[in-house]
Amino acid sequence: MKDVVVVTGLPRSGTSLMMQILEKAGLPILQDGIRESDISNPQGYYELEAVKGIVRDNSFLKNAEGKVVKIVTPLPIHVDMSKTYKMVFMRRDLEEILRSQEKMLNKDQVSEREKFRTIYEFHLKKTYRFFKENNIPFIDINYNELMSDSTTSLEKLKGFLGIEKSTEELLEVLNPELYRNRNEGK
Amino acid sequence: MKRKVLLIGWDSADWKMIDQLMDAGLMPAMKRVVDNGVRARFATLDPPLSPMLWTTMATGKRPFKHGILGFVESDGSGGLRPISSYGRKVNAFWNMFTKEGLKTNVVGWWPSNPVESINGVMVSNLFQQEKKKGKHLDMSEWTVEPGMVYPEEYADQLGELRIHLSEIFGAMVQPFVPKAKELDEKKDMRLNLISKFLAHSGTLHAVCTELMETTEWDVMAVYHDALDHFSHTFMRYNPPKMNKVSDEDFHYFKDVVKGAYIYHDMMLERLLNMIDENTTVVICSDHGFHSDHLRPEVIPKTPAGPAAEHSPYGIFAAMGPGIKKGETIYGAKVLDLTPTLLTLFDLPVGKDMDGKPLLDMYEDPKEVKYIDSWENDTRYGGELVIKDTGSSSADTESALQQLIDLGYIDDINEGEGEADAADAEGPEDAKEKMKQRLRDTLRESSYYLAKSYISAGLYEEALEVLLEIENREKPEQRYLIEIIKAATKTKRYALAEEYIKFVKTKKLLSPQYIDTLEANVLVGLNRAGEALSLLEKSFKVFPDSQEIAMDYGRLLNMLNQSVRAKEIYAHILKEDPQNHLAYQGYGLAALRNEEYELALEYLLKSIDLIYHNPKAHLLLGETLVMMREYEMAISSFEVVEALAPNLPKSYLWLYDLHTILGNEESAKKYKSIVDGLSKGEKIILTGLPSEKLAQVMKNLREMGYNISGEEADFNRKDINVLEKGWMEELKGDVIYMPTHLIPSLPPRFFYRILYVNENVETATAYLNKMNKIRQNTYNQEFLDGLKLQDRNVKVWIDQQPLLDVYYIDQLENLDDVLLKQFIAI
Repeated sequence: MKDVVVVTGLPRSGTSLMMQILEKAGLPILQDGIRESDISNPQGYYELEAVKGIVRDNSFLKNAEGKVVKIVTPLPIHVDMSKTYKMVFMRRDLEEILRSQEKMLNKDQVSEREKFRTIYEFHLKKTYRFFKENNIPFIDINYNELMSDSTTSLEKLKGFLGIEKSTEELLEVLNPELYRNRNEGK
Repeated sequence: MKRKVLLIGWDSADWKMIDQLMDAGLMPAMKRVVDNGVRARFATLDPPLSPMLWTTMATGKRPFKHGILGFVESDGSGGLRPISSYGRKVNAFWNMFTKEGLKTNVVGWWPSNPVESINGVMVSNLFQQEKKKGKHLDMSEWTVEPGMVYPEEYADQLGELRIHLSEIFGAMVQPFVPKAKELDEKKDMRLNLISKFLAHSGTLHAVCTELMETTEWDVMAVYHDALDHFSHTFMRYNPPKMNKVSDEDFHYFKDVVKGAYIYHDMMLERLLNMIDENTTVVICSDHGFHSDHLRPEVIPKTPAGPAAEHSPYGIFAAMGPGIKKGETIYGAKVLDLTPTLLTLFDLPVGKDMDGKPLLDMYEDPKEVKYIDSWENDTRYGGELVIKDTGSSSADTESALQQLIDLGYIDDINEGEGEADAADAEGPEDAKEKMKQRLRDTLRESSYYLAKSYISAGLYEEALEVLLEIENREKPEQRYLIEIIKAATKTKRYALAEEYIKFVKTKKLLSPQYIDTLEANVLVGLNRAGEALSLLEKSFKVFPDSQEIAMDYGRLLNMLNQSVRAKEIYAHILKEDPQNHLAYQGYGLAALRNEEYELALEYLLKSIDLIYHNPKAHLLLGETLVMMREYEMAISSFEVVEALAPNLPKSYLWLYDLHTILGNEESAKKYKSIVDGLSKGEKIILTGLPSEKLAQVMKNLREMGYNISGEEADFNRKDINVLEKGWMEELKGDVIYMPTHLIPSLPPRFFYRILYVNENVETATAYLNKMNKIRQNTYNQEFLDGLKLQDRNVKVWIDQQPLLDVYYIDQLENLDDVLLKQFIAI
């Protein structure tokens, strides 16, 4: 049985970018294309509508063997346990994530920043605990490292998923323009 | 001789009422049980909501484990229904007894609909509810619905026994309201409520006696909610008259609650007459009910607000073979019921249960067997007779109405049927309203889940739940308060401050209450001085607030202001003589003030009220040490070890005491535990710079100790706390550290701190002398700074788990055997 590859992480932590890299690497993507790309994320979301209902119904994973699907934290704790998984966990500085989300929602959430920071810490903790308790293999890919030292991060990723595509080709995906909002608002 | 158990649950029964009535000879049956058995105050759990508590009592587990949260739940198809058995995630005692082949009858337990196919007869909590059709109650259509009785063939026989509200006539109400006739003419609805309570409890009693007579049983359990209903409706009229109650209402209704207790005693008498000498009777309640000056003047207008009338202690009484007679046992709590029931049949207690069996009730010591969990036992324990269909029926509506009448949940349709509401507003509006109600209900259940975590000290888990349900658009005071407290407890001070700012800006709480929340944050941030002034201010404004006074007392104790702390705790105890934490706080203040006899008295009272409180046992042990009662102190620390194996202090004490007493084996054992828990021990000498400190240093050197640090360098400029591993590098048996560096001590070491107490004025004079400044130079700012430093460090020390402190007031202390052991190398 082939593993399902899940790209996870907090919203705005580079999960869509990772989906692009894996698509470039030739891994089939599980998607329905309902959500169009928008201005905040020009490369598209790679989001599957069914993922939103995972708490009630995770049957969409039936067809996911050997494919890649994006499931943001903490939703991977609801995956169908009859399958085997490899989790690619995107990590990014929480402060950056919060700023990026605020920009996307066009909302000033400074007064709630600690709240969301704490909620996200809980989500990360919960998701890691689930992986460890169920012996699900995962790697952390740091968004900032992926941008600054792309080759090392991509080699790590290739090793974890057994990707044969050349690192040079994968590097094409990493359009530095995508790394926006980084220094904004500081 | 085969033991049988008759278990009687009386929701909200309270010893205050019962004792008064027993003394007046009005509850003879209850008196018979108490005189021939044991009694205890049964500590409830927060939140004190009955379905959660009775499930805790039936499982031995806290609500976050058993899954029953609140009064209502989603019916899975967009509607609401009264809380049901579907949500319970763990075995109840009837499942465990079924696995063991014991014949068990269960009647009316809340919640127990639908019933389960157990080894016995089970009748659900909806069985006695009248069916509601529009606004009219109709007896002819009052059928026993599937899911109410198991085995189903009992449905007709038991259904016949039901008493309908319309069958209760005036004369039956008269014992409760002697002048009911006058009121009847005025169509006072309160009389109808009495009829309803009587009909329901009468039904349950009839079913119970029928099953006792016609079935073979090992366990017979019956639950009555009537006392709770009577109390919520009529306790406000109970004497002494409350200010808000009119003379007329007092005149008519003052004896209703008393009558309700007597009525329950009459039912009890009947049951006692039906049992033999092999039967153990257990009577219990889930919480108490304030009947005196503690009755709230105002009932909070929040969901489950009426629970404010509940008192934190219910009742527990047991009589039967092998059980002590005429004794009171201590430290019982609702969590203990199922573990105790199991030991009555010598069955094992689950290690995953949160309660402990009440072994003190037995005449002879009882050995308890343990298993990891009853959940792993795959034998048949019964299953729900109806699968969750996700729909609300007319029967559940009646039960919902009951909860609305009692004020536990809001009625969005204001007494109208949902169909009527839909007609008036259009189906979409009604649908949206229902959706909103469902969301609110789920949110409220999550709040109870968080409260259940908090009650177990699991603040991290509570915070996670609370942050998910908090909504800035729809701020809910209760949630915000718990978030701030949980954030403070988990040391997330920035989060706590963010919420404090929010409640301040939106003016959601009174400024004084915000001050108390902020004070706790300041304590955490090591700004004790500011915290103290906030609490002093709040205490002056709200002298009757137990919560503020408790925080104030705790901080005073941290700051070693024992005399004032004692005053505050005495003030609390005057209002609430059952507050175990106030006894503990008083005990600690007395201990710090070297009034050991007094400390002993208050700590023992605290433990009497709540046994499972390791902190109180720890303080008791420390008091006994100061009284040189080493053997007794060892017993206390052993209790701490059993109750809180992760608390390192007890091991340190046990090591010291066994060493003093020359018990080499035990000393060795505890030494190895202590070593295993940390990177090693460090002895730290600190205190404000003073002649006394210099003398202590000198004396210790003379005693053969190698001391790191010099009198000449009180600031220890040689230490850089920002460098990694600085503590490891310091050599010497005793390390001198200036007070301001104490909060920088790295974790994972055990610290024994010798704190030389000196007043600030003397310290300043000493420093002036050392720095060759004129003797009478007076610098208020410098004095204040030193005072603050001394105070903050003491608060910090008080909060550290891996740290023990010995305060040296006089040089003679150095000769103390305890001190010598404290710093023995």
